[in-house]
Amino acid sequence: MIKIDESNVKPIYEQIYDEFAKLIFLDVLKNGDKMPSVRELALILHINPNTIQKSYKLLEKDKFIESKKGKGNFVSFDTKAYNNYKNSFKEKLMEIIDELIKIGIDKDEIIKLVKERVDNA
Amino acid sequence: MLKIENLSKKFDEFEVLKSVNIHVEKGQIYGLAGTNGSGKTTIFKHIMKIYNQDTGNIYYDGKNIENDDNYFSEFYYIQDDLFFPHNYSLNDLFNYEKMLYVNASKEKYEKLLKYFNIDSFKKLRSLSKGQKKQAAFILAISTCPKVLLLDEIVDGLDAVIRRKFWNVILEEVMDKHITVLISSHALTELDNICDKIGILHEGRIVKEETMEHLKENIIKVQFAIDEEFEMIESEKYNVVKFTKIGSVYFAILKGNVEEFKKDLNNKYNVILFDELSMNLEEIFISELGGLGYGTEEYKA
Repeated sequence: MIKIDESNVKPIYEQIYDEFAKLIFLDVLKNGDKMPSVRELALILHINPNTIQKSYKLLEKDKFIESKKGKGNFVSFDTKAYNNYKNSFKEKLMEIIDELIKIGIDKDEIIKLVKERVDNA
Repeated sequence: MLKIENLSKKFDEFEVLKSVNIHVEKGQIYGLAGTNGSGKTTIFKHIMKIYNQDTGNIYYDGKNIENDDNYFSEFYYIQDDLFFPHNYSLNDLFNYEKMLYVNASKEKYEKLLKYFNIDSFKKLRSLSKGQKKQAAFILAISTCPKVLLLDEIVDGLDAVIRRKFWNVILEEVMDKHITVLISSHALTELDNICDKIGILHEGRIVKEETMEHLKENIIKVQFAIDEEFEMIESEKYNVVKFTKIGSVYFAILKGNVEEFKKDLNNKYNVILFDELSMNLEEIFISELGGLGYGTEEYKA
């Protein structure tokens, strides 16, 4: 369910955060669903439980999940989290556009490509 | 919870440990990574009072172990060189250890036997090296230690058994909050599992940091610049290594990468910039390279 890429420059706790954010956003994990326990995930991924705890704390802070005392963590996704998540993707798009300009792709061509993609979506 | 302070030891005139400091918190998995002959085993043997230090102190739960042997029943040390009493089977040895360790659990012992699939009736001396390690590990966990000292326990085991070892270690840490001090050369495995790392070289701890800090403070970058270039310098970052292939430059940086990126962009026309993460093995090599270890070149 969760993929860790060892060669990724991102710290593992951020990768776990991103993976869950994606699953929640794609509605694979729905509001009210129980998250795997820190312990389960540590054993599946072979990762220090404190690393996973850190990802969960961040997901909670950013309002993706909610921690219920003695019961575990549950998906609890609100518009604030939704907007933050959208913005992080917009930033990614900006970075890609910068790259395209850098490698010499024509401005009009970029706009054309984006428009085509959006129109066909 | 386990604190080693300024531990020094000489064997004849040879200084094996030079003022070693190690700080392990409760529930932590502490990885001791070290070069060959750096003194890892000697540290373990001091914790278990097999050796006596020349100077320095070891504290467990705030108490100096020098004047107190009560901690022995809460510690379990698996040596790299395993030694079993002649003609003992694993069952014999467990029955014997039950008398030494008040918390030893038969239930746990049986659970572990099943998990590892070891013949507990067979004489230990007739087991293979890997099976002996499993036998020692089963015994260790069955005594329900609060502190587990593991000297190269996973080194030399097959991938499946190694995974089982880590599973058990993680389970015990999460469930019983045991503390683990483990030495290993399997750095890729220590990488994701450990909370803290100590790097030992020639009897000295050259680095002791939480895994998080260790990774935040060192990064590999590659960049390309299409004009005459001279490496930039600042107090905010430290260039550990710097090489060039064609017009692509590689550097290992300690400190603030964002500042480096900013300075680089201000001064030069940067046509490519990539940050590459460093795993524990690379960090280890880089740290020791800084001390001149392993920097020799070989040409056939």
